[in-house]
Amino acid sequence: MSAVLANLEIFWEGFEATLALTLLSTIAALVLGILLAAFRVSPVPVLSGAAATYVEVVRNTPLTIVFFFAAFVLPQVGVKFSYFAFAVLAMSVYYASFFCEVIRSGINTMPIGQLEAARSIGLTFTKSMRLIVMPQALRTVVPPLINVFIQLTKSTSIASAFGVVELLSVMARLANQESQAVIAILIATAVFYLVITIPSGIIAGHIERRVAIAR
Amino acid sequence: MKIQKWGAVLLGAALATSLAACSGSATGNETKSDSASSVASHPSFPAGSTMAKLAKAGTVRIGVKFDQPPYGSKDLSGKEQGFDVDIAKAIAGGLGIAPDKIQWVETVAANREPFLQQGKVDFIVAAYGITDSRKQVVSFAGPYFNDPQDLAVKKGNPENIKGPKDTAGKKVCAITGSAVAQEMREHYPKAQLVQFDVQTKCAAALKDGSVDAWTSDTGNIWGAMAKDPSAFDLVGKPFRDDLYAVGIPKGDTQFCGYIEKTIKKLESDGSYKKAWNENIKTLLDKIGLKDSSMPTPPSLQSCTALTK
Repeated sequence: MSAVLANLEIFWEGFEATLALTLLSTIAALVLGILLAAFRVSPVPVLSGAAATYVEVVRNTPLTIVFFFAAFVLPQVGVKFSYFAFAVLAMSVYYASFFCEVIRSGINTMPIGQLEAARSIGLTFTKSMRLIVMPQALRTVVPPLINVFIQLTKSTSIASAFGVVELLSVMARLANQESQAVIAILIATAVFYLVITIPSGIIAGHIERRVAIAR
Repeated sequence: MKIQKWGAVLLGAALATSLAACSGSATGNETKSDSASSVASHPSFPAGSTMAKLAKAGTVRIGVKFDQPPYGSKDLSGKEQGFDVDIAKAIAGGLGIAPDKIQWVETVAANREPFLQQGKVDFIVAAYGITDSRKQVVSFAGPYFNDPQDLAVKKGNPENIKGPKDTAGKKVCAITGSAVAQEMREHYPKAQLVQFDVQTKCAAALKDGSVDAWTSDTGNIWGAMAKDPSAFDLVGKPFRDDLYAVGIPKGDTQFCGYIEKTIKKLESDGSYKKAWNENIKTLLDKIGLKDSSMPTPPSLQSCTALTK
């Protein structure tokens, strides 16, 4: 326990990086995921085909390999980002495919008549998506979205193997430095992840109740 | 009836696999070791000591690296080889245990202490540096080798890094959580540390120019240079000793004494030099380093202090 308290500052540094990585990746992945979902249900075959291919390729690749591409293949073709930026890129690209599928399932729960009605009063496809379909679709999928968010939070630990100093790197460093208190350091690391994931579950519960549509 | 039939099929399959596994390991054990580590015929040890116990059992479990040449690795036929492996064979040989009676266990940085504490290995020869925090949970015997921390740079040294002081403001790669990274944080805090989980990633990052230097124990840099001689240069200004010793269960002073006696013997009878020549000199010649002469082995530390 004293080993944890003495190193709280180092833990905090890692926690901040994990939190920043989680939030930035979630925002980017969610935006990309919404776009992909709109593409997948669009009537233009090129768009729906491209989005479907993206989802199938990315979703079925291990995240570690996506990280490898970002951190080691991109630099070879001249892309020079910081390793933190590479990590955000890898996480966003990967989790966009999961967010896309969750949102698409939300869109699919909507009666087709709504889209037909929207189009028949003269809204374009983009407008009817933005004003009619998405607002309702997103409300129905809050629990699975949070599920993906929690998974994303935990996956940030992979970044420790790709040049980012976050919670897991801090754990490795402290476990080596304080060989006598490894268990305490492992538990403290797990608690720091819970500090992110448990409140997000609770907040999700609140949002779900607030935005639920009475059917 | 149907269930019984399937049960029989499964049982048959299980038997077949286990038989195959048995025969596989038997042939594996038959391969004779070509290194000339001598095996004592009837050594005698104080009753109740670890040596007596192991000599009586006639077998020993030794933790080594499987992926870190020139210290411990597996050759193409899956046989363990390396400098550490030769030292381990000599320690076992002094107990009357032939190389083919040794059970090699892979140990990595994260599991060396637990394996010793839980008795999963009898001792460890795995590029295992003596540190104060490790000494709190395990004991050491030796040291038998010094593998100092050094820097590798891109071929031609474009950033003109001549020693650790020149890393200020430069991106330096090291293994996450390692003593090597800790040394940089403590003594060269102006270097920007980039950390990966394995050495090969540091080598790749240095090669593609994402980092300016890579710091590690020298042996790892040799390993990378041997694979890709045109990619890296060794700076050659070692700045932190890493004294490799044999890891043993905490407090076993007698066993430490036996191991240190064995190391002394290896140094005096030329086996140490032979192990150096076979494992490390060949590597250095392959890289083309100018100086491949054997450094003086580090002096042994007192077992009373090492096993406190």
